[in-house]
Amino acid sequence: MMDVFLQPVGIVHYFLLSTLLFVIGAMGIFLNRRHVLSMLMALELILLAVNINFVAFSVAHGNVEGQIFSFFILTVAAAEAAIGLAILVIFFRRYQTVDVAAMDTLKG
Amino acid sequence: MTMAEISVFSTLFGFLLAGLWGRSLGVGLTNFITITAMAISTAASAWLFYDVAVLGHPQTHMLGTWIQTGGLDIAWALRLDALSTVMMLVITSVALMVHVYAVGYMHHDASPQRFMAYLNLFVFCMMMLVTADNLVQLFFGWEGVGLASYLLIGFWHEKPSANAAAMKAFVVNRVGDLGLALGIFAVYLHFGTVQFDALFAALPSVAGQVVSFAGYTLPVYDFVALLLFVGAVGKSAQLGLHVWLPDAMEGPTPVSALIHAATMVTAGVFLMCRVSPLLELAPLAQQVILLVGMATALFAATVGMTQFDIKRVIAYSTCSQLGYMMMAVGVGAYPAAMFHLFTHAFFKALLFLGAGSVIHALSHEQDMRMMGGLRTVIPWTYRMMLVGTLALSGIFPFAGYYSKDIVLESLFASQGSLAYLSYGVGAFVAFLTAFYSWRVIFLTFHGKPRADERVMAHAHESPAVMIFPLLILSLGAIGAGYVGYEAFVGHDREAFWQGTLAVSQTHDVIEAAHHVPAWVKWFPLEVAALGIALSWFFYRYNPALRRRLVDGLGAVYRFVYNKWYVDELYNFLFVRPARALGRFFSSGVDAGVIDAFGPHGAVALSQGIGARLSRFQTGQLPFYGAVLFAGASLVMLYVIVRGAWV
Amino acid sequence: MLSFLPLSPALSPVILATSLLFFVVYGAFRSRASYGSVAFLALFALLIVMDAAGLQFALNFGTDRLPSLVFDGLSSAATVVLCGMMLAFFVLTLGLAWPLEAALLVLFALLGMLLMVSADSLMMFYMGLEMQSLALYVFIALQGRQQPAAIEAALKYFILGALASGLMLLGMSFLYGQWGVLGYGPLQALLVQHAAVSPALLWTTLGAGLILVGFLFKLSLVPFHMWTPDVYQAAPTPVVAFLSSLPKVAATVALVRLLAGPFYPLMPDLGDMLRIIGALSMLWGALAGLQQTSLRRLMAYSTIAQMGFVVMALSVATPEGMGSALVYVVVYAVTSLGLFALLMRVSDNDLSFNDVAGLVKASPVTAYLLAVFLLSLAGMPFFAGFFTKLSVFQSVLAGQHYAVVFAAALSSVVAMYYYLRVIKVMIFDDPATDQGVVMANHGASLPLGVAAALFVSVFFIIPGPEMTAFAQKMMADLLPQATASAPVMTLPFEKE
Repeated sequence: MMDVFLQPVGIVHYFLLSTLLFVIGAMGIFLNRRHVLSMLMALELILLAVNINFVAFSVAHGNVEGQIFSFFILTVAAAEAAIGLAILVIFFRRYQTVDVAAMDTLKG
Repeated sequence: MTMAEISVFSTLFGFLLAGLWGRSLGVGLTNFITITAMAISTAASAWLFYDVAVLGHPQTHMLGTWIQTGGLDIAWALRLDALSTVMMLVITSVALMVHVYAVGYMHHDASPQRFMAYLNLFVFCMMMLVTADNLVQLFFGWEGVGLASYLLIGFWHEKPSANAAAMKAFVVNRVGDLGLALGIFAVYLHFGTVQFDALFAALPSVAGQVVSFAGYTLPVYDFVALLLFVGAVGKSAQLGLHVWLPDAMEGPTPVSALIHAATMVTAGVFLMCRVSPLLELAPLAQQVILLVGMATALFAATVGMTQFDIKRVIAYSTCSQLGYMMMAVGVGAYPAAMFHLFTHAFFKALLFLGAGSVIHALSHEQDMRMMGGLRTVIPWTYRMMLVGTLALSGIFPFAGYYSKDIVLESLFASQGSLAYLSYGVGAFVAFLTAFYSWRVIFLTFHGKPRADERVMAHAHESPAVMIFPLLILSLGAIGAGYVGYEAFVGHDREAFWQGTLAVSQTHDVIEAAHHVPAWVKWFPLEVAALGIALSWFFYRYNPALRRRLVDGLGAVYRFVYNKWYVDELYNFLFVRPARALGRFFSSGVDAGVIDAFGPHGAVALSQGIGARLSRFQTGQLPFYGAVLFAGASLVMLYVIVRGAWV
Repeated sequence: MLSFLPLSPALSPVILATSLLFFVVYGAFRSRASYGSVAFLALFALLIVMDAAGLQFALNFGTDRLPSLVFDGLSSAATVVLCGMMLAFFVLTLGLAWPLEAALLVLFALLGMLLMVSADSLMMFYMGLEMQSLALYVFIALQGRQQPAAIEAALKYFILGALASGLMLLGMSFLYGQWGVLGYGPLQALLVQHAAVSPALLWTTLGAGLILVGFLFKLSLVPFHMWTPDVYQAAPTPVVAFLSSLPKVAATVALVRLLAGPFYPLMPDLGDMLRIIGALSMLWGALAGLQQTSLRRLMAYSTIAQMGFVVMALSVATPEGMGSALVYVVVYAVTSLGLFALLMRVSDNDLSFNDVAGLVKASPVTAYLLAVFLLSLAGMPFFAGFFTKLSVFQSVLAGQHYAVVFAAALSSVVAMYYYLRVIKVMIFDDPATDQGVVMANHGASLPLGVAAALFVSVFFIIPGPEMTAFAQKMMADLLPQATASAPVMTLPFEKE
């Protein structure tokens, strides 16, 4: 296990980093009990973690498809952020809160 | 379309028309249709009787195959021989009269169409029964008449007592029907066929064979005959399964006349005569039949003496007369049984219709204690009833005299150990019969009116449509015995029956009956006269003595009045345990176990799981996210584990 | 399908995209532009798109390609179906006072769906999916002015959807990392090649599994279904009508394309997983629906159970199974569209059982048509739902997967209860209030409901048999020819 840290930086390191980021992002969604805004940030983290994967694999394979995909993902991430924030704004206008726990009128 | 098919199926069409469209056809048209169908059937039957029985052309019409599987081959067929055509003649002629009578009797009813349709249905089923060429088709008719009887007893279904009576008739008949069904199974098992001719041909093949059952050993003949006899006991209301017949009087009176006097209840006797070659080989079964017949005749006659409901008295008298017929069967005097069946159909239908006329006149009063003095109010009914009563009590030259005499003479002439005893019982029953049948006349028509004045003021003679059938039937009650004597039981009997009724090889009972001592022939007439005289003495001359006698015989009287407590006994032995068992299964087993673990349990379980699953949906976004992520993790875990294992 | 204009099917998304751009400009520069006017104009665009896609059939299944897109029988049929439903949706909502943006959003969603069903690479599929999803999030949130709960639902749907697509993306990155390609064709070639010689590859199956998670989320299958009841309950009825029909069809078709293509060598493995999830969904949807008092929430659980059937049919990976899954989902979408269209005649808002009690008195035709749809969903004989369920059962039984069929049968029995309960409440109960059910006036919802009910009722004569035969033949063409040869199926995961 420790070998990983002794080797020169390679594909495995990128993969570990992205996995770590992805898990942090995912945790940010379901361990987060307070703020919707930080959920949006966690989503960004997830997308960027995957982006690291694509770029690293693209380099490893020596083709550009992964890098192209990563640009698309960035675009989507931007759109997602915009849309998420927009929905959050109207939510705040309506409920005067961005508390996660406030979103529980729908259940059962 | 042969005459046979016309005679059997015209009433089926009548039933279908009246039953399906009676409401829209209206009362008048329905009456017309059903009576026309009945008249066609009657005419065809009369022609067939002449052709088959008188001219001697027995025939069998194949209608089609019913069941054909393996060795079992059952056909729809109309078997026309002397025995069936006699029955057809009786059925159709009485039924036609009853149909006509019913037009008047049911005039004020809410749904006379339904009534007429049921009557047609009954006649159709009865014709199927008597023309059956095999036991299974006979069973079809047997159940069919049971159904029609059930429907007609319960015709006034808004009356709880009528419903109960219908139910009782149905349930009690089930017991008999089970016996008949088992008998048919046994016939097939031992003889490999249910067709009559084949059955009779196969009879010698099981000679000497025995059936072992529950430690008893019976010859096959007796075993099969007794099973079939159980069916006859149910249908013909013999002692033990007789309890439904008196209650069946809840039905409209035309029904009582047709089904519960003249035709359906004689199906048991008919069945016994039909299988007479088998009975001739089953001496034990014959003894049983004779004993049951004796007991029935005696029992019913005693009970009949004490009842006050006019229809019930006649019902018990029917029961008693059926006992006579069974006694004749028991000694092998099948022609005598059929002869009595023949004459009895006319005078008993006449009595019932007459009683119906009385009831009709008195605004549906049936209790004879509320009657009396009707002789002048309803003279025609009186005269007709008188004819019927004379026939029933066996007074010369009415029909009952001939047939009852030949039955009693046969009993006397039989060779069994019970010959003299059965003759004695028969003669005693004749005495009782004369007594109670005249008691009806005296209580109903003589003396002072006991009905209240309004009813008496309203009392009126029945319309012509009801009197006319009485007249026709009274002709039968007067002449049937004299006309039929020679053919049925006299010198022409062998030519007439053409071998359809078995005659013992060793001892021809009927022949012997013609050679009994003269006193044997006269004695029944004498006791009948004595019965009439006693009846007159007790009910007209000295009623006070009668009342003292009843008081003196308190316990005996109550015992008889309560019909020997048979109903109470059955109630205790069967009805209450059956109800308790039913309650146990319905509320204990069905609701408690099957429902609880079956439907209700499944429903409760589903609802419970559903409620839990709904609560799972908390509305909390982080929880949703966690579930989603957990699901994805499980998918990944599954893939990894699967990859490692497979 | 007749084709009036000589257009290549490859043009269908292009036409739609072009007209969309035109609508955007039109909406931006014409201040009086309304939802209705754009929707009305869009009808013509949709007809042209359908015409272009319909040409595919006239050309006898010829295959047309653009980079990362493939236009074959499946995508063309899906395009025609999706555009047809879109037409119906526009006709249904033409009179609503929705903002202009709503029309643009649903058209964007449709464009995303067209890309999804024609996608020939993971990248294109992802873009289509996101285009559809993002448009729908906003579409739902747009209704927040009338129904505040819709905002909450949109936010939940958005965050969960983003998480699911993140997981899907991760799966795609795994596949890319292992094989270095994103196109379906090359990926399939590599996998088949590999499968012939070597055992399972962990990252490949992991990637495939995660991609499936994204699909299962879209199709709302247990345990990725949590958003469904909330969204169905909160969004206005026309929005639910849209959500429950078109995206399901698009996601199913895209899933079929993946499972019949690159993932086909993995099917022995993924198939079992799909069956487990299908069984779970059918049971969950049936059982959790028992306790519902809200009609739309009930329909959400019904959707979950119905989608379980679709996935169950897909899992067997035979032409019969996949064909019947496609027919199933189309019939379900039509039923759902008709059902919600009719519910609009009562109210755009959520309805409890009390709100529709005695509906038959206020509007017999609505009540009886609703009953037709519910009976079809319940799988009553002689309605479409029965025959689609039957063909699903047949195909799954042919694969000898008895346990899942048992679960499906159990689910049908339990779910029957709540479908019949709704019918009972509508037809046999007395109205909860004295004035009875008050009907709203929606011009187009009744004709649409009648048409859909007609489809559901005569489906077994026409076009059911033809549709099923067509779908199964199409799948037979699409699936690898070596269907029957065992090695391809089993080798990837055999231990050596």
